[in-house]
Amino acid sequence: MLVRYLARRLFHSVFVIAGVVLVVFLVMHMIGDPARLMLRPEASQEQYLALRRQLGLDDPLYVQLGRFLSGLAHGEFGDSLWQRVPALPLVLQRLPATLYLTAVTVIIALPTAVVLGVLAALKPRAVTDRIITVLSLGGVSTADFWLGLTLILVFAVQLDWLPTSGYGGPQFVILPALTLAFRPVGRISQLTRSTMLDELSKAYVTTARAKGIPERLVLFYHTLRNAAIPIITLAADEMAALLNGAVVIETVFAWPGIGILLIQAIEHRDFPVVEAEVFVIALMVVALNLIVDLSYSVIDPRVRYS
Amino acid sequence: MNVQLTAPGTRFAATGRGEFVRALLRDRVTLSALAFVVFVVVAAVGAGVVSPHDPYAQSLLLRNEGPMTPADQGIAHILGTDALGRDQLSRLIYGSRISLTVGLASVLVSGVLGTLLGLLAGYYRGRADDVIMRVVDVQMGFPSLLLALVILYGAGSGFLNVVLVLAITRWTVYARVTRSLTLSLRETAFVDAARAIGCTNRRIIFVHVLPNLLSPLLVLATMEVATVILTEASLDFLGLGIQPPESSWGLMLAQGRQYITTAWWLVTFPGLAILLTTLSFNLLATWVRAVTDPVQRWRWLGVRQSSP
Amino acid sequence: MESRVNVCLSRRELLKRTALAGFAVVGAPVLAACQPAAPAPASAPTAAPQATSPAPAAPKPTTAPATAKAPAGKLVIALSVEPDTLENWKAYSTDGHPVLRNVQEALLNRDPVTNELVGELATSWEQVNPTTWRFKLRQGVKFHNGDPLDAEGAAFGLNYTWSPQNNFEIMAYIGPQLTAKAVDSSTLDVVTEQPDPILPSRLYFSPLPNPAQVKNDPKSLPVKPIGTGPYRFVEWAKGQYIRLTANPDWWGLAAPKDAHGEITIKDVDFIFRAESPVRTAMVKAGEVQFARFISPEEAKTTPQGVSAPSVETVFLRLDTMHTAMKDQRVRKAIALSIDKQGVADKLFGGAGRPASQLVGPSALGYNADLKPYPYDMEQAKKLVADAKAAGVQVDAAITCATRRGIYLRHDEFAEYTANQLRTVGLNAKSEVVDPAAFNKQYSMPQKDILPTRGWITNNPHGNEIMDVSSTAQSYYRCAGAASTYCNEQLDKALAAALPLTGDKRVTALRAVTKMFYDDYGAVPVIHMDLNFGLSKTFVWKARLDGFMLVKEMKLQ
Repeated sequence: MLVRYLARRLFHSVFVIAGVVLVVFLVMHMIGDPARLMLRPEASQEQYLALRRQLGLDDPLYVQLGRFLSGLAHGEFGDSLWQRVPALPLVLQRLPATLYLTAVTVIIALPTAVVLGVLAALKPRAVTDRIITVLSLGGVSTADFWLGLTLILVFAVQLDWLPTSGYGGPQFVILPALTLAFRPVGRISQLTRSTMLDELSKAYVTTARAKGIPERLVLFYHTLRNAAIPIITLAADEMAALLNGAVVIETVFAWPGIGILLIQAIEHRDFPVVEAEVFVIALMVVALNLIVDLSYSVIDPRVRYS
Repeated sequence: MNVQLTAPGTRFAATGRGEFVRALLRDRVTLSALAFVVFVVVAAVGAGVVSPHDPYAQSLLLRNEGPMTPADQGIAHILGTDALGRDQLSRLIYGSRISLTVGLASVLVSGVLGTLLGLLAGYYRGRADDVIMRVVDVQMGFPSLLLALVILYGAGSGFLNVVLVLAITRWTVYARVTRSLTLSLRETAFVDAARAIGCTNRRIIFVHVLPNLLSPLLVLATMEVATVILTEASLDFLGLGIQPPESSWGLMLAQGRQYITTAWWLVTFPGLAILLTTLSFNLLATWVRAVTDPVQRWRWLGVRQSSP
Repeated sequence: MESRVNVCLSRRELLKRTALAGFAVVGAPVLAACQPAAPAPASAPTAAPQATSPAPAAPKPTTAPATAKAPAGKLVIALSVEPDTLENWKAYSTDGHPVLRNVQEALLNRDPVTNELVGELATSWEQVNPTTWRFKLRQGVKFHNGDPLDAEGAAFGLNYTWSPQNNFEIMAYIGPQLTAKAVDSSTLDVVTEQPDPILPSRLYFSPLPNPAQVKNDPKSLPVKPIGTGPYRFVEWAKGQYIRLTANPDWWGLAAPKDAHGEITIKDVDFIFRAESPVRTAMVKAGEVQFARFISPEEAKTTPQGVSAPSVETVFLRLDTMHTAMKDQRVRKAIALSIDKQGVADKLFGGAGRPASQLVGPSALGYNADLKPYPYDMEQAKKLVADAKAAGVQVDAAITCATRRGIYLRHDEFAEYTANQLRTVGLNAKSEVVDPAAFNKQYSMPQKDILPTRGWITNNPHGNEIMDVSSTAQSYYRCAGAASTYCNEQLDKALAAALPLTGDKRVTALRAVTKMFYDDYGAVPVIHMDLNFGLSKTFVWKARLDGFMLVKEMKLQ
């Protein structure tokens, strides 16, 4: 059953990824051309046309598409139009930084959020609940660049504890990861609180408590397990956003992840880089969503694969 | 939005209206949240009457002046002036119209769309599930900036297109959460029972499954208001959002960004406006949810004797 | 005083270490698991200045600069944009030249003080006939890979850079095409099709690549520049830093009089921080010694804020074929409605001066007799009313368009302009336009622009050649690539001026400038200053052309 399910999902994934990349190819060619951007505005029409010819933008779209597809068949996306080196390695080069930041952020955010959510759900309306709610909603409603810059000004300039920005060891990742963690902590903790409240009112919790099972076990084993599905779904959603590249935070902290690269490539209409990067992101998102779907049946055996 | 998602009106019947009002009056946190929401809505609706200055009147001489700077005429610039010498408070008041509308409209559109598709995918499974969830995959792999650019190129920037961009980028989260919960719910005993007594699928989805999803979805939707308003700020920052001289909180935040160290009030007040408004919405939503929930209600309405 | 500084430093250090140690205990095991694959070079760039920047302050309380000393210390420069490629033809660009101009050299440079052209890889040059310039090459110059520089190699390099097949962007920047050939081992002729009296000004933007690298290893050109300059390229970690180190074999060490600078700093890192508050914070935190392109207000908060004149002039380009703007009164009204002094003082924080023309005083042909258009709202309103009375459709829609991110506060200035125009009775709105869409409109041939477009763009225009002819050919001529103005008389006068040299050229170009001015062909607004944040120990004088040559910098 599971094997057949996996086979079908993998088969679908090929279409999803091909679909995303194809749409991106078409869309990129619809929204303006890079030749104009490469030249100074004072450049003459002849120079512009010559550059277009050189970049192969003169060919009809189906010719360009054919070239793109035959490259894709060989796993090549062509050279970046601006950086003039192969596009796919440019993306892969930056992947470790994105994965590193995503991992640290998730490691900070997920446990914090779940613990806060459970604590808040234990005594709704109590002071702890109110404080946690206000703080987590504050995290959701704060502009990330404001938060990032404020953290830099406080911890790097005023206190001089941490470097302002840059890439490297633990001291470099702490501020960007902290800034990024605010939103997921807020969202996941609120959702945890709400689903836990629903679960805690159910009969099996009363039964478990009546049977004398320790409260900690009731909360974190029985109840949380039943509340886990929406929590994991939302967490995966946040993680997908991080894997897409945390553009603002990468910009503020000069973190060399894939987000800045993508934004610049879109701005520059650097077709090969955008296509290569979207391909890589689509792969990661598809894999993530598949893992999440598989986890449902582990958490709730009633969910079956067909 | 809130009302729509939480108003399975039958639940109210058990308790009198007076009890709600009394409970609300006792609960200071929720009461202040309500007061703030009312304040913001009144200000947005009556912007022309309540703003102390013309929000479009520029003055180079008053560029980036701090809070409480005296004005040429009328009352002082309580929250300071912006980079073109316009009154910040008046711009906040006018900006609330666009921000609130954009926030609520995009959440409504994406929430309804995402929930419906999530229900279909989770309940029927099979082909519907495959198609809908693979579209979600495509959407999540597709850069949202690119989407914004495409819509901008196709239709130009402007209010409706901003709502469109935000709705299209945000519906997937509802679809996924709804589907994940529906997957479990469709296997529960009460759904089996409903099916056994011959309920139609539509009835099962909307009468038995959907009400059980409302609580997490409401939490998600109210938090999405904040996310959407902030996402609008990033569209503004790229020049793809609201076009000046119109203003929104997001646009003010984006424009104030470069002055964060030299004129703090330019980002602080729009930031606070977003924070307080979304916080109030969320607190209200939490309260509404709690007092309409038969299990939790006693705790919030203060009916201590009847508690188990 | 000294001891106090030390105490202060050590306490900061202590705090820093305590914080890090605390974090290490808590977070290290977790982080170790998810460290990226290659952390060793990665953590170096910004960690290094942290470690070294307090160090030079401590052991060198008494400086003895009298004796010739080996280059020492490390300089970290924060730029706003990372270069796309380090190919030699990209050395004209704002993102390319900070790195490239230190690694590669051109035949000529400009004196940092007088701004005159001076020899770099050439020692002398002359125009032997209207279409040929002859350059004498410097002797004993070696590339960083050991190759000697001769006329053959220089000619190859120039022909590669300016080849129509390659069609590099530098051609569109300061074309037209040229060809070079070696006369003997140290003499080079550069030939153009048309007479080109300002060829040296163009060649000053064109550093020479290493011929062997171009021939044998072209794939490495974008990422690994080889040149003859005072600094050699060490490493480029994309997204993080570009590292250079002093070149011990630089020709300038043996010819200090011609070198126009000296090597005092050993290592240089260029890092990239897109946000100006972050660049400012880095100077303040002592992580970098030099931050480029911050706002004037931010510059004031750094240890040494510098505002320096540039070759950039902000101006409003008017669609003179527009229904309303084809009328001179309407154009004049627009010119009068902008408060140039107010814009310079307030909007640009004092970093600029009102402009009367599209080029600054540094350009040959600048007309010093012209005054900035006055600021007079009443007259502007009257002009619009007059035009309306005369049947001009003054309510035709105007868009004050600006290219997103083109320069500091362009969006505010567009909003300001639209507001001023509405006040004098025109129908204007502002719009921040995506770069690709903007450029398409901006560079549209004049004949294709519809009278309904009505764009007023605010742009900085840089006259790097320092000769009005390039500006006039782009913006004043009917056929100019970026021109929205057409006046056949002006075209004739300009065509006649181009081949002239000396005083005749100056007089003719000044006359052209005046014709454009008198017809309100565009609205010059301000000559823009650029702002830099410097650390206390950093000694540097900004150049008019914006180049950042490390040989002109010192760390005290």
